[in-house]
Amino acid sequence: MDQIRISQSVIARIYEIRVERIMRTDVARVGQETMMSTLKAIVKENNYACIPVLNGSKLVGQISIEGYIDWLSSDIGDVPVGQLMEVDYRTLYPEEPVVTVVRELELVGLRGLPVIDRLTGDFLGVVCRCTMMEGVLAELDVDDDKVKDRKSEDFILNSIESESSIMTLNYNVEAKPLEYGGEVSSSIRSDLYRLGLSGSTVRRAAIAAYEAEMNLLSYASGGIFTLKLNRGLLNLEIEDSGPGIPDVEKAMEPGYSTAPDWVRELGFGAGMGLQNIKSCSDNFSISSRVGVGTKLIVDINLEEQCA
Amino acid sequence: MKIDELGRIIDAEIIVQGEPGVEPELAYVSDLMSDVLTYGREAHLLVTSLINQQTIRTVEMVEIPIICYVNGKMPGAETIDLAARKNITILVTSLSAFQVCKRLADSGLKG
Repeated sequence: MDQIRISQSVIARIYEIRVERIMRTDVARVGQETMMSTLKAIVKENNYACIPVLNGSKLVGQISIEGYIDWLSSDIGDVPVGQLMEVDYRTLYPEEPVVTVVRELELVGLRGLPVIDRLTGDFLGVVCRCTMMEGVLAELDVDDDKVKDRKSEDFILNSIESESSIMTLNYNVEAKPLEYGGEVSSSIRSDLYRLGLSGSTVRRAAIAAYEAEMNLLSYASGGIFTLKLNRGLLNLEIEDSGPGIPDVEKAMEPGYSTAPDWVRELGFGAGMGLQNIKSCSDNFSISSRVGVGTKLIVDINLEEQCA
Repeated sequence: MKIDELGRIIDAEIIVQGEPGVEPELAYVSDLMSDVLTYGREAHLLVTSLINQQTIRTVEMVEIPIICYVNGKMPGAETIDLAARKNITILVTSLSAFQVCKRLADSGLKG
């Protein structure tokens, strides 16, 4: 169960990251008397997920990007922000774990939330989906230096090799009965959600991983998944030292299959897998040598998660 | 359509109650999990006569919240456990896949 321990270690570290470490403080702020036309210029210049409305240093409301779009498409004219601002919304505290924010944003479908001081109500910053991702990756980089001193956590270093903004996760698919296939893909899926990736990206990655995992168990005796997250790109490499594919072109043809009955009985092996992995990818490549093994590369472009 | 209502229409028993409040509008029917992974990605309900754990893994990856086993096939304990952990609703009916689909279509579900 090596792969599960590794991914949990990554998640344990994500749980330790607090909102204050990843919030943006360099955001524009407006007052209740600011006119919507002024706000328009601010939004145009910056990709804000929400714009805080302040009275002094206190947060009194916000204009979310959704609210702003509503105003744009309405025939309400140029009015002060105070008339349109939302006053009923969730705020975050700096000491909250980032994981709860991920859930919160998913749940309400918002792109960002303001952060305030728990005692004074003073506005501190904004957490939005895209900076959250960058912040978490940056935190994991920083943490790696700390972790290097702790021998007991050596396995974390094996699972994450941070190169500036790149995060690498390794998952090991062990040989086991096909009925139990899917555990690793399931871990990948939940790790990606916890990292704040969008639903459609996670789904494509999960389907590709699952098809590949079933292939590893059907034809090779397991293999290795290497998942890299860079800003803007998810890269998944699947490598095995199985028998290899004699005719890759033919294997890519929909419907072509060499699967034995015990694979087919589980609802797989119909010659759809490789095509399906390809259809989940923005970029796909396969290389194989008989007697050596097979390697798949799946690239998925991360969606712009901030409006 | 609510899950309770769905269950009544296709004479199904709810074996695992997964995510509450799901209202399926789109169904997909197949015994080939690769097809579900390829063509069933938008569905909310999978109708199938396969009852192994891979059916649950498949709907987990595609994010289909409800699975309906036909022909009265009762899934094993491991499949039920997995569905409960993954918050997936399991329905079992003694109707055939065709009968289930006809009733669902008559009730306004799309496929």
